[in-house]
Amino acid sequence: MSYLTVKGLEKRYCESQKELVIAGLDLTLEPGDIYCLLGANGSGKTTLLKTILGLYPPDKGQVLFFDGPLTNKVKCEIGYVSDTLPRFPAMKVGEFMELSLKLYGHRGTGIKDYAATCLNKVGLYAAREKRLSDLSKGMERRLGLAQVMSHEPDLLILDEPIEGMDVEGLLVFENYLYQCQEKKRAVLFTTHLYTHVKDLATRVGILHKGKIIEKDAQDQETVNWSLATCVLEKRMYDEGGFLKC
Amino acid sequence: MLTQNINILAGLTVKELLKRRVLQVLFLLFAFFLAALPLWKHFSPETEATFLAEFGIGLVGFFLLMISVIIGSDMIPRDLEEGRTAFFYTHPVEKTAYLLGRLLGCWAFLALAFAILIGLLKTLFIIKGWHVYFWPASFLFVKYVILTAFLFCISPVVERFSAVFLGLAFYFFASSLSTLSHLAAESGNLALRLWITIAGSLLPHFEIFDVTGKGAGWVYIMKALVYGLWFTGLFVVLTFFTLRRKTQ
Repeated sequence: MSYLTVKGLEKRYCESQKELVIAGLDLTLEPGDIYCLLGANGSGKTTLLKTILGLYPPDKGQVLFFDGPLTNKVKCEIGYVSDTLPRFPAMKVGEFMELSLKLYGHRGTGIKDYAATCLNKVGLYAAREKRLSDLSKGMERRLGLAQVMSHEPDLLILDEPIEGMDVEGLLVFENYLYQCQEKKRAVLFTTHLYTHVKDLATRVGILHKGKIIEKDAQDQETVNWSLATCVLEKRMYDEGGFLKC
Repeated sequence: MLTQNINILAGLTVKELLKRRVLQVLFLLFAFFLAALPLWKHFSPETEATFLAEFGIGLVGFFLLMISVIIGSDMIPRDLEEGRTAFFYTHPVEKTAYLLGRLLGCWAFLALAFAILIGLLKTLFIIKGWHVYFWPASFLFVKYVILTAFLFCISPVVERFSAVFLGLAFYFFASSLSTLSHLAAESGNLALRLWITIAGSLLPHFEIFDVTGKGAGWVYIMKALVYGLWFTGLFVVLTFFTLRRKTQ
């Protein structure tokens, strides 16, 4: 059973737009896959993740989770962290964790303790009384990680999970990915920190012109060159910036 | 699961609204209202009682209307803009639970604000030895609940200023309809009376009532319930389809 199957996915930003952001994309995630998605700014990584999760309606194609459609029952097995935290006015870190746990169906008096334990795992226990608006980018990312770790999903979809993280945060993330691989969970994450790919991922793909070009995750040099070529090509043809310079 | 999620969302909505400090503003206005009381002492006791009752409840109603317009027209678009809708949708939360939770939370907050303000007003009347009937005041509350529901219906579809404009337009339309129904009741034109009766039963409108009179009772509550159900149905259907189109 594949944890995630994307078949012929197409997406435009708006109906009047001719160019496709996602152009007939295919992707399959098997248990134990740690998939790193790279790409230039504006290449459509976040759009792809949101389209996969049904936050944006696809123009064409099919997305299957665990060989079935996305239902509420399936959502319990998926952990998603967006590139920015949702803004809840005056909400504290601990309250946010508790809210997320409640929405995943956790009940009872132990919820506060469990939320604190999850925060402790990512080094945010001391910040549990801080407001969400007061968190740094790295702390936000850690909180997102704590949120997905809390209900132990089989499939994780993470948008820029290590952006702004310090060394300790990176180590926590790396350890968590190892655990996911051991427990045969699948992870799909995006990042701009391409130099870490070899240590973090088992598979790597570069999103370019709406399609994924898959590379060998262990061949860091090829990944670097391919990414650089894709970024330059995007600047040249999409924006014309390179030619003007 | 559905009921639990509705409870969570409703509780969250009440907390968010309390954190916006709307209640404190209402208390300040009530203090201002109390400070103005000595200015009316030249009225006869009966006139003063009627005037104060109508003015007091009207004042509470007006500010609740303002709150309804502000929070009702703002909530869902804000959720979309600030990433909260995406947060809820990526959790196992049903769309119905999200929408009803938000609406019920909004109503619960209005009920709280209404209960506190009317309670204070009632205490004032008791101290002064005046009697005001409770049911008309309750109906007044329900009409703001209906207005909130209406604003929730239109909030995902239109911009905030349009929502405020439409909310006020709806308010005046409903008030005009109630005036018309009173006029029609007194007219000898059977066709007009029939038309107004049909329109009045299908479209929500606000009753004209005398807050110190005896005309109120269970009829008001039943009517309010019917209007409430009418708008809740409309709200759920319209918002559900709009959100499906906009955000999946």
